[in-house]
Amino acid sequence: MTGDKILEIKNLHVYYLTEEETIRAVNGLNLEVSEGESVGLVGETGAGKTTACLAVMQLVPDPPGVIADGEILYKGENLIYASEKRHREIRGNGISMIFQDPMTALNPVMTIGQQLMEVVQTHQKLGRAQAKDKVIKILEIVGVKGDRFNDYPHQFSGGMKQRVVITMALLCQPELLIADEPTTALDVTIQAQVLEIIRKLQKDLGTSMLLISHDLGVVAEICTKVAIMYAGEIVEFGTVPEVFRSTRHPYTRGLFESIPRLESKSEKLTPIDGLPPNPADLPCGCAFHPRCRHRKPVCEREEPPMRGEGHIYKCHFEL
Amino acid sequence: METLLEVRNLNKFFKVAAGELRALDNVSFKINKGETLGIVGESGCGKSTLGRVILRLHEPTSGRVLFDGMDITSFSPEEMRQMRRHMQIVFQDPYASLNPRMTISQSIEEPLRVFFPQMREADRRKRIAELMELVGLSARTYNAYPHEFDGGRRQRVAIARTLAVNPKFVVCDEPVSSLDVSVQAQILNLMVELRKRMNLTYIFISHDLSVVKHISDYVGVMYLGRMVEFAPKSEIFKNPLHPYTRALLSAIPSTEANGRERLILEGEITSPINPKPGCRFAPRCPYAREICAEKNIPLLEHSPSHQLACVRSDETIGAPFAYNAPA
Repeated sequence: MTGDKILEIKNLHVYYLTEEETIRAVNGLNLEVSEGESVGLVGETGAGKTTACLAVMQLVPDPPGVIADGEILYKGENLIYASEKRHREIRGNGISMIFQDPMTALNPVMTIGQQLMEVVQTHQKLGRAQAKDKVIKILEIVGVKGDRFNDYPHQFSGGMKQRVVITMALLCQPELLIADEPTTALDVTIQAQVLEIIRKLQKDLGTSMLLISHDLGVVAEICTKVAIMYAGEIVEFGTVPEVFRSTRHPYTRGLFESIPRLESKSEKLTPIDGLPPNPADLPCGCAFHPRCRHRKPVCEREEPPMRGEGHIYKCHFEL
Repeated sequence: METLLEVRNLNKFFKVAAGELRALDNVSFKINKGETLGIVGESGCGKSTLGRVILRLHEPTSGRVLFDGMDITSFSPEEMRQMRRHMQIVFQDPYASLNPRMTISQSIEEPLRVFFPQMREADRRKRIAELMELVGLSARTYNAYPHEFDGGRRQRVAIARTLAVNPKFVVCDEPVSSLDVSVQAQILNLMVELRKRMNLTYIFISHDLSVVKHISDYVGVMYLGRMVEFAPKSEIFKNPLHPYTRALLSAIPSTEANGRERLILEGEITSPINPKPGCRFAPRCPYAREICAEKNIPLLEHSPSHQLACVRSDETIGAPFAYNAPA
């Protein structure tokens, strides 16, 4: 079910400039999301996942953040050069975002009804009654009863708040939904409920999605394609079965080996040596080389090429 | 096998404005020397309270904690302070548990000063260096401050500090939850290795079943202050009997998942304040009948090694269950 490209990110660089140093959060990121697709973006803390998504939403805090290079094309339109007015049109109607922490994403002194109505009335020309109908309809799709319209966020549990946040993102039927760790703050049984809702929405509404997660399990459940991010760039990309079954990049392999699995019997995990790199002081050559088991002298000197077709990985060697 | 820790009918109620919050409701179990008990459950199930009440960081409302045969619930504060040499805790958040104004060697030194005041300066330094090596911290970070460290290395400092006094027993309260997977694996390996080397006994508290499975010998599953299932690890994961345990296992997103049947629970965790009688899980349980809401359902022996608090297990035993079987 792949159609036109909704989002294309080309060679994106986002830096945070401070007095002492330049933090290179995103370094030459390339990524595409087509219609009806859901792409998982996986990486550890500091890999640049959230910054990349904020760049797509044109919400990188400036200062200290700057988009130093690259293109972000939404249906062929470069968002970096678009006006602020145009960004506001696209946010909500075209692209919307679910933030990680439902506890802080809602305004505590407004009822959820007021907050949701605000979204509809800002982005679409609807009367009060119509807007309210719409809000209640979508609330019920995600499993919040309409009679909670006048409740305040503190009256909701974490899982319920996340449903309200999902409702907010869906109100204007965006074509692309960016979900930044939507279930990380939730308990597992509640996470399972929310993932079920997201799956249902994909099926019923056909929304394309970019899902950020550090949890490979969540990505396997929801996404069709997956991009593995390390030090601000994609190191491996492919369909979920390709990346999960015939893993290529040493970093991706390391990630899989470090997860304790319910299925495995072994006593010892195989962690990746060392630590994720400091984005203010990235290693030369391949950014992963200081932690890589297969490193050769060339890895320290030269940036590796992208290998493969469809299922691609960035490494000097055919693995 | 010698029992190191026994908990008998432990209760911890907190008074809150709306009434009584039952954080721990009649919890009993035993741990043998050198073994690890994993405690799993979701937020608010009382797992952290359990760890703290065992160390008397919270006083129990009633019930007893026996450590090495001694009833520590009857100890005076001074006796308890001495006892803590043998019973230690590693906290969840290594960003909050270290004093930002102390160097890491000072942090590791503090328990040595408290428990071994007569130790000579030179010996203390030697011991700190040993501990740092033990947990894999390089000697040149001796005078570093916590802010120079990432979460994984901070957690190593917290572990070194815990082990400084040679404890027999350590409560690990979600020690790897705030860490990235690659670092989480390093810390888990370290904890397994230290357990062997120092003959430690752990209570390992976590919401992550995969982590608990990796490190535990026994597993206790808690729901709203009660232990609902308690069994050796292999039993819990191969033959889970409580509907809640099954739901938990089924809820884990697995990288192996393809089209498996999931047991997705309806509704949310009910409030632990002034709970209704009956099984706490009944409002969300797909197997619940009237009987479940009528009377309290105690944790009983289902088989010699498997304890269960469920009256509907005749049905769950019959129901086929495979949380990781590929379709």
